[in-house]
Amino acid sequence: MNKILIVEDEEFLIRALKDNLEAERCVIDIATNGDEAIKRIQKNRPDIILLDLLMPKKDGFHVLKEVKKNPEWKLIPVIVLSNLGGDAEIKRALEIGADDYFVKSQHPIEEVLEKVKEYLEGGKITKRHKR
Amino acid sequence: MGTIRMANPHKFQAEEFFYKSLFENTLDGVAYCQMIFDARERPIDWIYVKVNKNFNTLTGLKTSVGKKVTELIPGIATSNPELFEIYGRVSLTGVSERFEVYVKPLLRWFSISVYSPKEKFFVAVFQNITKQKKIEKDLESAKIAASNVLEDLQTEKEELAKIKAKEEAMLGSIGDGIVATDKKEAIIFMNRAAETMLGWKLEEVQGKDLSNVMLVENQEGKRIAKEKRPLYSALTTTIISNRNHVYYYVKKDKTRLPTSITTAPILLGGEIIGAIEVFRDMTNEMEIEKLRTDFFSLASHQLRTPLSGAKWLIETMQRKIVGPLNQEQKEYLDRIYKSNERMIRLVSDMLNTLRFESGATLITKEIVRLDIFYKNLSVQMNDMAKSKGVTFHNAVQNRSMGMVETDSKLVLSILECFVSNAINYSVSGQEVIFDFKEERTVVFSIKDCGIGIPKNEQERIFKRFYRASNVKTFKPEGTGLGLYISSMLAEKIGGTISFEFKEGKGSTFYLRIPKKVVKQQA
Repeated sequence: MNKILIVEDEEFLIRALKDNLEAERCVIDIATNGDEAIKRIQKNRPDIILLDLLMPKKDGFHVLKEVKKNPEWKLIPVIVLSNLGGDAEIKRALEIGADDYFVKSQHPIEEVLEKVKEYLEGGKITKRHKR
Repeated sequence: MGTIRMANPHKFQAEEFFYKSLFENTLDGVAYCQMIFDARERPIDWIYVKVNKNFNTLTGLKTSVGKKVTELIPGIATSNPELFEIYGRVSLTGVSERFEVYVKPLLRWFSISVYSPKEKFFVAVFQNITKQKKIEKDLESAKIAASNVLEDLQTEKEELAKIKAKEEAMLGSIGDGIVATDKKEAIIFMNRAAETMLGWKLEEVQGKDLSNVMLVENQEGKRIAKEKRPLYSALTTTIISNRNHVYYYVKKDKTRLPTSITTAPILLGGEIIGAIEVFRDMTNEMEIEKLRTDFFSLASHQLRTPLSGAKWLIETMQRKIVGPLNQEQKEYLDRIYKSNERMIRLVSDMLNTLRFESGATLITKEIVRLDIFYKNLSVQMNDMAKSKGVTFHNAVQNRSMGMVETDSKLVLSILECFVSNAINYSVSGQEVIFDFKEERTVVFSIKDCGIGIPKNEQERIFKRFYRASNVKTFKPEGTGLGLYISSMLAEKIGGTISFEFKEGKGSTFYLRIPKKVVKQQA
């Protein structure tokens, strides 16, 4: 079973992602802030991380940096799901090493699920971001 | 001069000869005269008893011996009464005198020594000093002229000093920094504001090369080369460059000062003799800009978060993840979903409006083939067109395509707005046609056969929140911001938007852009 870590502080977004991903037979782990996210990754290494950017304590950019700097974690695909839609923010996240970027309100959840499946199937990984 | 009286002139013949020869050969004029007095002992005339050769030469008179002066020089009593007085006095007192006099009837100046050899007689020894007097007079005139010139110069200098003081006060009181250089970029002037802003005193930097002393960096801290600085273009091309982006001056204390710079050449008779750089401290503007950017980030995040939550939860239900839906529930959900989508678009458009209105959008120029626009549009719009039963055509498929240098993203945004409006305002079975003409500018057009815009509302279509009255009942989804944003975007790339329409027969929207986008002047 594929393990997916959802890093998100909005309860209803967690709910929507969790319900859909569980329907795809994924195992879901949840962190509601950046500190917790790092702890969850250490404890239970996920296959994919779905990462929000604006969160309390440690924000998504910091989590992304720690993941991509860590030799053991850097291959875990990180899909950023954020409502920050500015060019500067997208550029910054991709430069730090985000594998994909979705502006949540602009994309149906189905597109996110498709992308997750793509990464899980491996090989088909193509780096591109969506807004 | 003492009194010389010849007690006995006949005493020695040799002496007599000597004196005679002295008398005849001296270069001065000599006249021996007898003074004539009236009854009241007033001197009224004199008779020339004996004169030497030079007397005639120096006075211009002839055969004077035995004649009265009043006969010889008529008018002398009026023109030179002082001569009568002096000669009278000397011939009575025996006290010699020396003086200068202008004899008007002769038009000559004389320097005269007079003494009396015996009572009522006098000898006048004189030189013609008319030339010297003229030179003296010329000198005096020259002196006066020179002093007048000096005076004028002084006045002018004072005027200049006043003007300079005024200019200095003016330049000094200007809040913008001003630095002027000669044509080799050596600093020749900087005002107080520039000194305060940059930390240098004029004395420290005067004569030094501006681009060596006052370094300029970009936002990222990279030094801007001399040839890329605005001053350089002012000196080389006479172009007055405007403030359109922020340069960072490196101050004397190595800290950075954000500024906007305007430069202009200093021209003298069409030749560049220097340049002037005016810069404004942008610290406050930069802070405000940062606050604004932060606000946009936060606002877009905060507004979008609940909307995206609703969107994904509705989609989860529509996907029947949480159980099956009956027909009625499905219809309700679809309506809620559409309403939420509309809200998402509205938020997005409003944020874009604010962003574009604030001028925060940067233009990225690139050279692109003209055919990419239809390709991109058809990819973006085909789903929408299909779902409305509208066909989207390209009228230019087989024409040769040129290139254009512009911000293709912005052009696409504008065309997308046109096409999505066209599709939205069409009904099933109608078509939307993309076309363009390449003339001196490039003109894109999007034609539909939709409901058009009522004539009395056409002026307002590029205004914020405008939606045609006839469309509100027809299509409820529009935000009323699309064309407003498009017109702002067009302006940014030097383009214009226009339209043609016939109510009931459709509209055509045009986007006209230059083949080469000129950087927009702020």
